[in-house]
Parts: sequence; C-alpha cells; structure tokens
Amino acid sequence: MKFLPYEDVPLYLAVSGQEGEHIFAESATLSIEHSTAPTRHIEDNILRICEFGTGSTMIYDSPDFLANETYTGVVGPSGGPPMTLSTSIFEIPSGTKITFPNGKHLHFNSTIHPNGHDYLVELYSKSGGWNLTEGEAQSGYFEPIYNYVTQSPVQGSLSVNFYINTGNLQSFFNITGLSNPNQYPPIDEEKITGYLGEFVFSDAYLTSFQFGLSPNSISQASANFQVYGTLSKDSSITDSYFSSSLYGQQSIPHGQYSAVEGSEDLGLNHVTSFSYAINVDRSPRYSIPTGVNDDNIGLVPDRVSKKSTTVQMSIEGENLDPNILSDGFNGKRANLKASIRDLSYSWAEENANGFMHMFECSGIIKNQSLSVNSAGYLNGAISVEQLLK
Amino acid sequence: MDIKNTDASSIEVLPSFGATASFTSLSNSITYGDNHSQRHLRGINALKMSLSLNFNELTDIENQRLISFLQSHFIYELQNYDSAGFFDNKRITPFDYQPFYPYKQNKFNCIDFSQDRSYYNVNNVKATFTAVAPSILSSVESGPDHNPVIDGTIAVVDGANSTVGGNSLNLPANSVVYHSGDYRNATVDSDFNVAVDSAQALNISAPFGFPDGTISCNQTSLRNSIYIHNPNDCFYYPYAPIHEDGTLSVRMFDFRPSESVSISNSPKYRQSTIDDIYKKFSKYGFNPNLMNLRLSFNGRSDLEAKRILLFLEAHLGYKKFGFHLLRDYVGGTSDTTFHSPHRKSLSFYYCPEWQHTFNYKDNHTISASFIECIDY
Repeated sequence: MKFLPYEDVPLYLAVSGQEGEHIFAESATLSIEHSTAPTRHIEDNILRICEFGTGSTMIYDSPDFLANETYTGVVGPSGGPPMTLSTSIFEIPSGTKITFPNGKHLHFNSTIHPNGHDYLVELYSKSGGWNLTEGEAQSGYFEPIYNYVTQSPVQGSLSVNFYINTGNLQSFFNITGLSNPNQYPPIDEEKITGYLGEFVFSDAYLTSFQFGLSPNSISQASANFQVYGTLSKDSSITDSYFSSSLYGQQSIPHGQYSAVEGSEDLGLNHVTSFSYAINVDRSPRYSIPTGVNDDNIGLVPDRVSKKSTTVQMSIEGENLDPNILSDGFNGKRANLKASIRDLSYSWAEENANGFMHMFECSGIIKNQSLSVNSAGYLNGAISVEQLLK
Repeated sequence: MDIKNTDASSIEVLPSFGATASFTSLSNSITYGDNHSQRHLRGINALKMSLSLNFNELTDIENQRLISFLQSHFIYELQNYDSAGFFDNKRITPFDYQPFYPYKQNKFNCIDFSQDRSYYNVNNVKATFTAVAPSILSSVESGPDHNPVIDGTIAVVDGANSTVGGNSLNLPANSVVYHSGDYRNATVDSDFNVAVDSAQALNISAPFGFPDGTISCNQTSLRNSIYIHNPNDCFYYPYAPIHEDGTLSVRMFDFRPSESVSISNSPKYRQSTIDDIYKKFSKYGFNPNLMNLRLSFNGRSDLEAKRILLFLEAHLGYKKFGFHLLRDYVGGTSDTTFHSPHRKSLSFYYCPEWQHTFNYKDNHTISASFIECIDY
C-alpha cells in the first residue's frame, strides 16, 4: 500500500446500468458516517460472586487465595440463582482487574466475550493469604470493553469539485434529467455508480449541484451525492485508468461567451458574475427484514425518493432595480436564463462547441443587496429562487 | 371513498425500520390479604399481538396497491347463504402476513390504517395489524426443569456419538447446552439435528469442562411458539434454577435491563375512612413493597431479542419467573426482619404486556412491565 498522488486517483461516475465517464475533478471527498451508540446494562461493570465452584450449591465459601492460583466463580447475587455476565460487554480482556472493597483485587484469567450464558468466570489472585467475605464478593468493580449498536443505516457522502463539460452535464449531474425518456412520472430516481480511486460504490444519489461563472474565467462546479450500500476495493481500476477518456479534449464552459438573459429587468445591464445551484430533498426507504432476518435486506435503500427540488440563481452587477423592500410582497417575480458556452474557437477541435447548455430560473427574488467599499464600485446582487418540483 | 381499486392480493412492500410489535395478556387476578395474588388468562386467545407498521416513501402506485388491499377486506358483498342457512361472507377475512424478524407468518386483520402524502409521488402509510385468534395452546415451551413429554436428552460423549432420547432434537450450531446439577455449559460446534433414539457425533467447546453424561435439552421438534419463528434458535438453562435452599419452581429471567432504570415505590397500606379530615394509616400485610417496574432492554442483538421475546411469550403474560433487579434490592432468608417479599432473597415477577421495536439491523428495543408477585 502506498499514497496515491492526485493524478493517479480516478473519479468515475455513471448512471446505473449505463456507460459513464471519468470526471476532471479538482477535489473529491468520500466520507462515511456510522451512527452508533454504546450499550450499557444495569450493573454490567459489577461482578457479583455467589459461589466459588461451578454452581452446584450456591453456598458461598471463600477460598484462602494463593498467589497466581486460578479459581472458578459463579456470577450472581448471594444465595443464587446465578446470573450471566452482561451482553453489553464486548470483551473482558484477560488480566482485567476486579476491585473489591477494602483493597482486595482479583483478575480475570482469560479473555471473555459474553454471549448471554456466562454464569461462570475464571479468576486469579496476584497475592495470597487473604479471602473475600460474602458481602465484599457482591461488589467487584471492573472496567470491560463495551459493545456498540448501529442506530441507523450507514450513510456516506461524495463531494466533488470539478469542471463541467458536455459529457457530464446532461447525465449524472442533471438533477432534473431522465435516464429513461419514457419514464412516468417523469422523475428520475436512478442511482449513480462509480469509483473514487480504487473504491467502488454502487448506490449514490445526487442531492445538489452548483457552479458559478464570471467574465474571462472558466467555470468550476461542485456536486454532492448521498452514498449508500457497500464500498468495495478493486485494485485493477488504476491499471486501466490512463487509457480512459479523461485525457481526451473536453469542451469547458467559459465566461467569455456565456450570457445571462433577463438581468435587465432587474436593473443589471452589466452582469459581473452569476451562480447557479439546484438542490433536491431526498429520503431513503429501508425495508425491515422479515421472519428469517435476511442479511441482505435493510442495508441498501429500496428507494431514495425525490421531494422538493429548488433552483437558486444569483447575479451581481452595477445596480439594483426594483427593490423587494417596497415591492416584494408575495414574491417579486424574476426570470433568468444563463446560456453556457465554451470559447467557441472556430479554428480548433476542442472548445469549439459554442452553446453547451441553458440553465433557467423563473421564480421570485429571494434576497438582494447593495454594497460598496473603498477603491471599489457600488455593486448590486440579486438571488432568485424557484421551486422546480 | 375507496382508493382506486387494484388487483393487489397481498402486501407487496416491506415496512420500514421502527416497526413495533405489542403483546398484551388479558387475565383475571385475585389478590389475597398478604398481597399474594393469583392470575389466570381469560381464554386461550388472551395473549394478543398487534403490529404497528410504517410503510415509508411509497410511490403513488405502491401506495395505491397497499391501501387498496387493506380497504378490500371491508368492501361489502351481496350476502350469501351457505347450506346451513348462515351468511358465509359477512366476516372480515383475515389475511396472511409475514411480520418482521423474529416473528412467523400469521393471520392478521388491519382495522386501522392511514396515508400521509408528504410530496408528489411520496407517501407514508401507517397501519396496525392485529393477530387473529392466536391460541396459547400453540405455545409448547418447557418449564423450569426437564419435562420428559416435550424435552429431549443427550447422552453426551464429547467428540463421539451421543444418543438422543425423549424427543428428536434440533440444535443449530453455536447452541449452548448445560451440564445437569451445576452451571457448566458447552457450545455445540455444528448443527445437531438427531432423531430420537439415534446418535450423532457431538463436538462441543466447554471452557469449564463438561463431563460425559445425560443432559436435558429444550430444542426439540415439539417445541413451538405462538408468534416466534423457529424457537429452536433460542436456548436457556434447562434445569430448575439452583438456589442456596434448593431449586426454584420457576425459570429465571437472565437478561439485564438497560442501565437507566426508574424504580418507583408504592408501598401498600391501609387507610381509615372514619371521616374526611382525620386519616389513620396502618401497615398492611407481609409484603407491602412489591414493585411495578417498567423496564427497557435497549440495543439488543437479533438473537438476544428473540430469546427475550420467546421467554416472555412462554410465560403467557401471567406465569411468574425469577428476576434479579439491582444488588441493592435483595433480602435474605436468614434475615430475622420481615423483608418484602417476606424472607426471600430474590424477586418474582410476571409480565402482562411488552413491546418490541426493531430499530435497525441487530438493534432491538424491548420494553416490558414486570409486576412483582409472591412465590407461594
């Protein structure tokens, strides 16, 4: 195992069941969160000894302990019946000290993983010439290693900063697109598969996509996915990575010829930058295993539904008109369109597509601002929001 | 109004995690002067089960088929007479349903269900299923000691052929068997499914030794549960619990509640009713401080939850069992004072109702009411 440099870590995405492509990403983070909680039971850290023996009499009679001699004890209250070690304990390591009142100590002689049937324990003393009273034997304090339980499905997220291009814009980064044109209702809940480095995932769902653009700069985008299911490792991925399509020329949006329509109605004749974001509220559905508790049920969601889909488009420019302070009740409406173009080189094969995609937002002005600072100009900014679905 | 009728003839979607099964027993109780009580169930159908299920994130079509199926049981049909002159189609016909782990398929009615449309093409359905006519006669579970009618025996010879007696045995791998007369136990390394009077090699792992000899085993082909699927996955100490005074006539509930427990005390007493102003309080009976506990067993594994549920079901909501609560709550038989329960070093309870929630995989919560009673 070694550290892989950035250029050796591929990011590949595909709509499930379809051909995908490598993403030219500046950064990518795959993180996974496991919601767990420790289990604790009543007096699970207290060892009560009701008999030194195998539990045939439940009559307490302390031995006179000898150094490094082992003794079998029965767990439970004085007089019995015995009780088992708590199943909240994952492990009691061999040698774990048990502290009784009056400075007396015993130790577990072997490592124990309680299974609900541990009535007997094997103990030893490091010193000799002493014994335990029946009362003292009811109060052995020890510190085990506790179990944890999973509280909810394990869920991950994939965050990507990347350069959009003609290949990825229409498919897996298109929240409102359809992988099957004939689908009804026309809401695509198809999952995304792919890999980051050598780690393969098969149940990713896009939740947000945003990008910005300003004059004389290329566009950079970011996207977030919810990731479920299993993450497997396939070392052969990096072997074929360098022959992939990633190193072919791509057409990348640029601020040079991209344009925003509809900004004049908002008092902005000279747009200096715009940003676009689309978010969708998604909820997974996990099914509960039935009578035989199938291990394959409940780990991966059966469905990740799409609920509210919201578009936000923000532009900045030299002015602000109208203002929603006096004219915004029930939402001042605005229509913005951003046509995304590459550099439209007529003499080259790359960056020569011209028009690439149109992003629209027909909603209400959510907020606006005016700002100025020293050595600067008065700037206006408007943000428009549309509930799309 | 009915939802658009579909041809759904069963429930085609699985419920979401968080499903709950509730059990309640209906019993009559007689309480005597010293707080000794006796209970008996009101009938063979007196241990009831209901399921509270959430079917989340359903598409419109899934929702339509589910609601349509649930509604279909109530749709009126032209009355029809059978040959004996009775209506034969008036009854709400129960449907077969396979609940979540660890329960087995049973017949249910659904008389309470609701739909929540949370967004376009996103629906949540809540439904309560009630088990129809479950019979306590279906519960075949051994008591506190070897029962030759329903239990089996193994003439254990570790690593060699061991003969089964009494009844055929079905021990899955990792079952635990107990030596007679003490608490030494051993884990069975592989499945031990052997017909009565037959023998099979028995390989066991016993950290404290396991002498050859005849042992008792509950995991027989006769064992049966009202609600639990495959009860032979569960195993308990099969003998009468050993006590310093001998053995008990009830089984011990060997599961520890979760750490946070609330213990409320409501001592029993007598109060005079001479007039409204002056009241005189008097001590009452040998056993005034009997407890009424609400215990939670959180974060239990699949198998432990199943063992708890089978134990409670086997006691049918009225049979008593032994239980150690906290080390502070313990009396003594040699104590000369009148402890409550009177001169006992452990407590006995019955459990009239309990709930089981399947939180997530290998994570179950069981909450139960334990009512203390006297062991005589």
